[in-house]
Amino acid sequence: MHIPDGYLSPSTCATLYTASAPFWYVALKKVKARLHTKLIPRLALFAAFSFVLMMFNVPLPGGTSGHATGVGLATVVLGPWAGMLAISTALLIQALFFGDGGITAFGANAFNMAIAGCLVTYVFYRLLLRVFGMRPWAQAAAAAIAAYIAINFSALLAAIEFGIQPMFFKDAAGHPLYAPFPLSVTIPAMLIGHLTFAGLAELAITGGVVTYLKRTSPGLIAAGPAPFSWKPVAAVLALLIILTPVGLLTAGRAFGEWSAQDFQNADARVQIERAAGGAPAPSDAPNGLRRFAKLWSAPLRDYSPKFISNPSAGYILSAVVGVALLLIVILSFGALARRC
Amino acid sequence: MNVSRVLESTLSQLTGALEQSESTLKTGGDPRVKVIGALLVTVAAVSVRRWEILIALLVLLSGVAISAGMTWKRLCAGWAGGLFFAAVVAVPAVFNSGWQLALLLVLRSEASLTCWLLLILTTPFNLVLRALQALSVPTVFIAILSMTFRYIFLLVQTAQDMLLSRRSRIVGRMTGADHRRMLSSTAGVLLGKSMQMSDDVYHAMASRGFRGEIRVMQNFEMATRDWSLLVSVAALAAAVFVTGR
Repeated sequence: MHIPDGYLSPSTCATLYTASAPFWYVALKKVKARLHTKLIPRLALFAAFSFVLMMFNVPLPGGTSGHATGVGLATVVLGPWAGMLAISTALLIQALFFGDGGITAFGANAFNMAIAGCLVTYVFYRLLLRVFGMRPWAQAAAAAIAAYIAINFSALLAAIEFGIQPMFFKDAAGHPLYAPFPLSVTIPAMLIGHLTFAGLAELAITGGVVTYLKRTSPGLIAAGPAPFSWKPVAAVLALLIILTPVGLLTAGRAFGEWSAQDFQNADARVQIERAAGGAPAPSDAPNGLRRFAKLWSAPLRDYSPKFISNPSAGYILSAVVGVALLLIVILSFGALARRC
Repeated sequence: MNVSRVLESTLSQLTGALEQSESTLKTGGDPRVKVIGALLVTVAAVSVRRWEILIALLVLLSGVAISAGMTWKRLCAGWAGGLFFAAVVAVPAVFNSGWQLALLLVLRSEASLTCWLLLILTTPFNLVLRALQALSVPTVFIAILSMTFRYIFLLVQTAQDMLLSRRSRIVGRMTGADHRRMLSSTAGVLLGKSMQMSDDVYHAMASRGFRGEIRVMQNFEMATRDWSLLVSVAALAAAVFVTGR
């Protein structure tokens, strides 16, 4: 997953450096406030540990092997903010001395693995600890599953970064200039490897080390479900909201989401027929579809509010409204349940 | 070969690579110029859209590396870093988008690798860090980077010793589950040692007067030779950028 130089366009690299910078800044502020003078040795030693951990190839079922990134352990032991700094440092040393990941792509690698990886691990680790309660295996299972989800999320981000290259960066003849495969290829290609080998290695090593630490040095990992902080959840939600315009890049509609008007549109008809395995689309929208389509007109139809001309801004606003509505519903249900 | 031996061999190669990565070649020149030059050439190489220009750049960088004392073996070992992605992305790209794009992807990556290999092998790491600081990278990052680099050696050595002592007490074959347990406990012990060591290092630093502030001696002075190197590298990067579009 360590992206080398030359596979992402310079503007993608610059964007991801820019996206990573505020996270590094906030992380540094938070970690400085917590560790003060202990900051430097603690982060340096953990970065060195993560670096060495990446050399540990874990045997996996089926005769294969894979290595962990240490993102799960960094988050569980140091917390998400210190963890992202330690992993970023390990990634920079890898890029500088071993050519494992590029210098221009360092922002992308740090964003995918260190920043998104640590935040996603933290959110799922805390949620799972609440679900598992005080059972003896709770911490190891929560850390392992959270690390597994995080490494797959990081792989998904890398796949998106690769997959958008041929859409935006082409020469005059329309040939791709950087990674040439579309999202339909990069997402399965990255996720198959990470859902199986790399994810299992992360799961095995994180679960194994947390089990070992719980037995021998329980002070190194937080005991039981600690007070939940909404800040990393908000950071992950913000990250996902920023990424929503990626949805604009996919051509056509999802299977089964055609509107009544699409049956009059030549391009949409081609898509419908392709999705139906070549069967001809009806010349007009079915009666039921036409009748029920008028029942409700959504205020933010197709995630594009009428008062916003920029489609990306429309997507982001729709995501913000959607998240806010979901939070209101969930918190209202929670309040109702507590009262009952 | 069993997993612990593979791991030991990997760690031993890592130690070798780390030792090799310490500046051993002819040094000289202002490190700030070298860092800026490496950045400019990398950005230019990544922006290039013509493989002929990248081949010319790679030949030039390789020539500089060899004349600075780098062996072909070391240079090829450095290029090997870009081969995994070449196999996974560039080779399939031959069938999808043609050999020119595949060649572009591989050459961009190798040109960047050569550039940074040249910097690291011709400049002591402490000078690279001081150059980064002079270029306004926050001091705290410099200090973390510097200590991380130093302690990687120690942790690799510790991991090697632990695996060797474990292997010397094992009789018979281990199953995959046994290996996973062994690696997890080794990683766990290593993590415990790292955290203990970070406290020890902190106490050692505090006892020597460390109060969280870092001061680094800055005594870089640009000589005429450095200015001419900076102008030449900037001109090279500009030429690569313009002709490669």
